[in-house]
Amino acid sequence: MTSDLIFDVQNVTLRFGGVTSLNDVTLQHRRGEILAVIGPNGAGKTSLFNSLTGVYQPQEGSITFNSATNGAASIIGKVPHKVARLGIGRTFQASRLFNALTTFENIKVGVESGQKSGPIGSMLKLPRTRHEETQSDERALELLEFVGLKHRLNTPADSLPYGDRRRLEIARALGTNPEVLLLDEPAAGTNPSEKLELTELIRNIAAEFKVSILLIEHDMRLVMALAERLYVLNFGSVIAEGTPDEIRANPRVIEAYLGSADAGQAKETN
Amino acid sequence: MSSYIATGIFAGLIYSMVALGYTLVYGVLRLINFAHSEVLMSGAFAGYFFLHYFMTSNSESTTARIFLFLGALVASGVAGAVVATIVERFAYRPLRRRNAPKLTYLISAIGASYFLLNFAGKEFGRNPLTPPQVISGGLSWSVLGTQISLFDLVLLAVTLILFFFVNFLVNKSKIGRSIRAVAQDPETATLMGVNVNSTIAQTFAIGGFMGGIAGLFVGLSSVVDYNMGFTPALLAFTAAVLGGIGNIRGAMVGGVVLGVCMYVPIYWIGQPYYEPVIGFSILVLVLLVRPTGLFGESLGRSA
Amino acid sequence: MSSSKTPRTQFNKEDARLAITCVAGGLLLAMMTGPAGSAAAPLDSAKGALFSSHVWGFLVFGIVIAAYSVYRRKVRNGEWVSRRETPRRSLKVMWSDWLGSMPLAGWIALMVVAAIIAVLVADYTGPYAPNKLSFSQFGSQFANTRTYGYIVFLLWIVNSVRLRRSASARHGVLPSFAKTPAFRIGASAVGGFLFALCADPWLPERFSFAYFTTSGTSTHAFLAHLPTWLWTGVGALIGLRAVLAERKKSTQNNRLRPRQFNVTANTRFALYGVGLFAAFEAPKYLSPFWQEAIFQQIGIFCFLAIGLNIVVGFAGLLDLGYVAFYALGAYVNAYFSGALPIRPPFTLNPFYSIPIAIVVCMLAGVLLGLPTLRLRGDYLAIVTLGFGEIIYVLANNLQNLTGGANGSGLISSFSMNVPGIHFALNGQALSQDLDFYYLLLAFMIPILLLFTSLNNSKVGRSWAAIREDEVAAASLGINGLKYKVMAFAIGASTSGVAGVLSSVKAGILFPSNFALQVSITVLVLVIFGGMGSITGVLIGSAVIGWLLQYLLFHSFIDYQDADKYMYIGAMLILAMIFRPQGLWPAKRREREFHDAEAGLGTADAMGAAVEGPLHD
Repeated sequence: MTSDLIFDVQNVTLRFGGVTSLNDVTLQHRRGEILAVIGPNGAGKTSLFNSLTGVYQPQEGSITFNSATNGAASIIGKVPHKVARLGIGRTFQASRLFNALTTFENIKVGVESGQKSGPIGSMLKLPRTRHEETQSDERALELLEFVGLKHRLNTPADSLPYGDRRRLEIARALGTNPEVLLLDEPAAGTNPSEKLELTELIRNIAAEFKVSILLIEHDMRLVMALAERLYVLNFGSVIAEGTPDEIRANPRVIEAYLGSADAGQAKETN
Repeated sequence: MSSYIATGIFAGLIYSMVALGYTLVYGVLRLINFAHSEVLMSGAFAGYFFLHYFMTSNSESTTARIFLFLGALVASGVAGAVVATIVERFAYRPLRRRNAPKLTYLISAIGASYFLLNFAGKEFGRNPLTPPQVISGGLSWSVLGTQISLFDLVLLAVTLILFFFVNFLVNKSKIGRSIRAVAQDPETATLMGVNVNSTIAQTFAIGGFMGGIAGLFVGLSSVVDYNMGFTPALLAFTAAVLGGIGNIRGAMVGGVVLGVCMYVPIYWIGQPYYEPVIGFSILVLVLLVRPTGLFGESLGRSA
Repeated sequence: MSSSKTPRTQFNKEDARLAITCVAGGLLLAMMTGPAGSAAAPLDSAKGALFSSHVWGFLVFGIVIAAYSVYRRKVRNGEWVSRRETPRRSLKVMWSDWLGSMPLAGWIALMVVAAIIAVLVADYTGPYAPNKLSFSQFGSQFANTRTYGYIVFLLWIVNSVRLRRSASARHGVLPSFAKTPAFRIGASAVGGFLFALCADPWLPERFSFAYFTTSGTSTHAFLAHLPTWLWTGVGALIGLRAVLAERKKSTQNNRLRPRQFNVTANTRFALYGVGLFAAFEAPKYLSPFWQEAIFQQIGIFCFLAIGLNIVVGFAGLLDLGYVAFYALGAYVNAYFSGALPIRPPFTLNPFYSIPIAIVVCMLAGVLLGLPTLRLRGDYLAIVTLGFGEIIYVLANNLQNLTGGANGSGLISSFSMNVPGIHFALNGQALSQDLDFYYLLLAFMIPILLLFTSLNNSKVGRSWAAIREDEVAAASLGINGLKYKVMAFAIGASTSGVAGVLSSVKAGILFPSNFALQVSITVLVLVIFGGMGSITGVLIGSAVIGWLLQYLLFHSFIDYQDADKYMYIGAMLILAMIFRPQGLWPAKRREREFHDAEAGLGTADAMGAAVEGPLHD
């Protein structure tokens, strides 16, 4: 029986020398939901992502990933590429595209990373390799169309406008067929119309590809529009958790963002 | 057996000197200065020429010898510093300006090393040269079952002095502060008014000074040859890594440890040409097991 | 179909000039291919030529070209404006419409016309005869194989047009076997063969078919003539490409692989064909200076450079001990030839040592790579440097194993006795340089093909991804270490093959052949030529090999051969400062360099796997 939770993070503590980046963080991400993690800058959000993807190794706690196909697996102690193979995809805060490759090639790299063909097959163009190549071509094209970048098929990634870069990164991460997609500030630096498109896109992704989404975002409108549940981090600890409405009214959250004087004021106006 | 240990220690001291140069440059630039082997070689040549011209006979008085030796030290150190600065200015700085990828730096370093090596060969001839023995070889003392010569003692003294000097320089002086600042964060250092370019040049100069002096010692203990820098520098790099690259104390200790580890097994194997093989194996081992070295890497902080 | 003439559509002086030029060109051609004439009465022969049908053909040709050129010029300049109500369709559109709707009978008629034109072309490009249009002259052309070559060629062109234009052509009268790829490739091959007959000036003008039936040197000479088979091969490949292009077109959106089936690819393909031809033919006619340069320097350089290109160019790793694998391959061969003090269990022909060398070098590459490729790039460079040194030191000092500094014993020469191919090479004689060169070529061409297809595949893209951003690649599930070790091992095995081949040529192995210099030189070849691009690397090898050889003979002041490394070092520095991507870099690589300098990504796989993604 596969668990209801896709990510089960229990009491994770991450330290760097003298700095505690994550302090006893517990987080539960249900399968199929769009979960958002918010908090002021420096709260530990990206560190959390990095812990979830094996880039950082927390000193305490446990992180369990419950794959629908492969069962439960612990993330701590695994290297990033193995974590990705488990079915966890992610994007980065500053988009890390393969700049000299074209849009199509970027996605293709994502799609074919799971394929089995090796150097011998590639050199000799064996039938299985060619078959896999055709398949990855088709899939990449599908993804390209889905995010609306088909017209940029052969553009090198460094020539793309900013909004397209973000979308390309999401498409590339989707290429690995993940069960959960970690989006690190996907709307950072985008203008309002791009933000709207992104919101639509993320919703479509969740619906069509049946992925769970874990989102870091600063834009509150986007978060409130998309997220079914929220976690709020501050100084490495979880200070609140709940639905968007609950969080909006939570005094600790308001205090974290605005400072205590305004927290009192907000309480009165409520 | 103890003579092997002694040989190891004193060879290790030379490696420490060179390793200090590697460590300093790595600290500020995150870059292995491949051309450091040529700095060593140029120091050796400078020392050789100095002694060749000024030491007229083998029967100089002790005071004369002391002065000659000091002169040779200065000559080799300055030569090393000059060569290092030139390399930095012409092979690295243009790349820094262009924000070149790391591979480019390495290749340029190799080019610089190669150029200098063959240039020396062309200019100074490809035959090995023997410098006059300014430190008289007759004296030696018996310590713990082995013979320690005057040369060894002088080497020890010079190395310790240099080590303390560099330590002081990096930790207590203004130059040292600039160096540490640039090592940690070049951009912020610029914002704080540190002249990054000249700081880097000074770092190279300091490392080059020590490398040059090390070259003098290598030349005095064997021969001066255009090819001579390659193997000692490679082993010195191992020493730097062993101690923890970027770590000054580590460079010091790493050199000695490496020297001992390299020479002691010869006692059992009996074939001297295996030394570099052992040294290289130690390098691979260290990089596999504990790449941060004995003392751990430090971002330009002393020890 | 006449357009009303306005002053703008009349012929002006420009057009007249153009027309006269073309016609004059035709006449000039006639004169050039006309009778040799006699010194005593040169004009007489010219007059005689002028009134022969020899000239008329070229005149007609000139007039046709003139008309077409004028027409094109007018269309391009927009001068040809029609005053009709319905705009006149361009000639091109009308032509393609007409072609597209032509029935099969029309095509057959067109082919007959094409055949006649081909015979005329053969006639007119043959030696001078005063009356080229007479029946006897015409008939005599059919004794020339050249004619058949031209016929087939023109028919092939018409058929290609037919296939592209008419959609239903494939369902026509042709028997089903004619539609199979095999048939079409075969037909193209035959076309190439016949093209060789008309293109190759080596073949006698009147080549009778009796040559095929009678035995004797002429048939053998003809069939042994390599260019004939080269052109056949080229024809077959063209047919193959056409077949594949059609397949692709019908199943997929062509734009997905923009580089493969477009005009640029065609040109590149043709250039490679020419290059191949030159590679085969040219060395025979070169001076000894060049022969020595090519066979001793450039050949092995190319081999080594292609291998190192995989490591440095494709995977972005700096390997400074490359010479170690070269040495390993050479010593493996020496071992199995019985040339080393240590006796092998059985002796092998060098041909069979090659697979063993490949395996040994690959293993060595994996063993060295697995621990060290996790490291940062600069550490990797030093470790490989050390490894190269170690191999040199061991080779020099292990007398019992390698014969030490005095060299190994004599290595047996290369011979191949596979059924059907008998080939023997005496590695010592200088006159066999050519054979050795062809041997190298025979190995190099498959390797080039394999590596090119490797680069354009998933593996090549993964290498590019790791070069660009290893962290992002890991987030997609790409195991950086695996691909780096793969590149390392493949590069090592190529070097091993080069080692075997050069050991055969050298005969005796000296450890000094495998000094660090070689690694640095090969590195220069790769970097200077162009990282990541096979063509670039070959160009780099050629240029530097040539330069080194040239400097041996035309040295400037004070230059000695031993100094060459100094200049190589200086060149490296200058190259890094001014053009780090090399002479002829792969497009992708060049972009990576520009991007890296602008701060986007890294152009190499030098960083540690976890460089540190961003903190909050």
